[in-house]
Amino acid sequence: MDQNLRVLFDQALADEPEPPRRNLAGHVMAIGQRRRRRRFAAAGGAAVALVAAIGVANLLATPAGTPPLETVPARFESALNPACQSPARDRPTDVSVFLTQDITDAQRAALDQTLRSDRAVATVAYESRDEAYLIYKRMFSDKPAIVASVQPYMLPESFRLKVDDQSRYVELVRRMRKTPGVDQVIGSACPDGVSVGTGG
Amino acid sequence: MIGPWGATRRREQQAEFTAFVEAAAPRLRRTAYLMCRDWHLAQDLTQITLVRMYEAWGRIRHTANLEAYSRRVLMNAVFDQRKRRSFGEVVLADLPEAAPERPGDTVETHVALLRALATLPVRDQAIVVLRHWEDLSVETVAGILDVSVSVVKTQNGRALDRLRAALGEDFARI
Repeated sequence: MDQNLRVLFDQALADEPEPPRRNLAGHVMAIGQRRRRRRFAAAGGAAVALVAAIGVANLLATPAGTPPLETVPARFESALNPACQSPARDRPTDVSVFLTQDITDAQRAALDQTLRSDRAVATVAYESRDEAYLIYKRMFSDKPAIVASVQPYMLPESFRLKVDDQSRYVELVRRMRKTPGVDQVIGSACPDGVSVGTGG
Repeated sequence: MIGPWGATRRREQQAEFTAFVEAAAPRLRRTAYLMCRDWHLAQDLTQITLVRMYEAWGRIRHTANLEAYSRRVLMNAVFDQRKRRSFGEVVLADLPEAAPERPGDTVETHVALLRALATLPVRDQAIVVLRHWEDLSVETVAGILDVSVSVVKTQNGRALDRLRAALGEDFARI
């Protein structure tokens, strides 16, 4: 049997194409060095993303007195906790369910109920606009101009979930996206003991 | 982490790493192919493996069994990729699908083997490939996959049974 398997595997490999790169080692080392540099620059990168997001917030705020129809993009909101990777590339531990601006009380209550009874979900925490704003203020306590440019109503409400059952994650997200009152759903990979909604 | 190298030491380690890549890459790529049945993906997985090893090179270069270590990194990359693919609809959309099966082909035994292999749980696939293509010992495979020796033995037995059942007499003919 072993011998047979070995022969069959060799046959399966017989149509191997030429490797695309002549100098694989050099290529790999270049990638490794680039990634190393990028890690050092990561903090700087986050700051740039922030400035861009603040730009959006300012635009939303400009029409005098009229509340914006859309909240500050959830992408920015979820970046509030830099300890987590958002969106998660694999193994999401947390899910942020951002709510639409016009969600009704009944929709919010129904969603809350659904999430609490979902087997894929370990814990559910509701985060109001005011709570999101407090986290935001704490994050930028040393940058009063950034804090001043955002009002609570610009930040979306959300449910922050801890995912228990990885295998049911995809299904959970699919269901959430179809639920009335849900704007965006973002999976994050957070280290142990960290939640995406706690602002780092 | 690579750490601050002196220029000479850096050149030395780079030469060492280059030699390692030349020796290890072809086999890594073939093992990856048996796991994913896609040469492009196999090349990517090999590259991911080597980049991860390069990043840790200063720490791992004197590891007694670099070959086994590289298989461990590779299999983790394979497992990650599978998971990513199942989450792909949500967070990623840029991973290639498996090559479509061409209808009308006569199914040769080695093709049937890879197809049957693909129906096994991914860890069992890894056990079969590491044991029967890489020809590694049960103990080494257990170390690579971070499971006990008895798990490797049992799962290997079960996997072979399932492959036999899928391939039927074709096994006996070779």
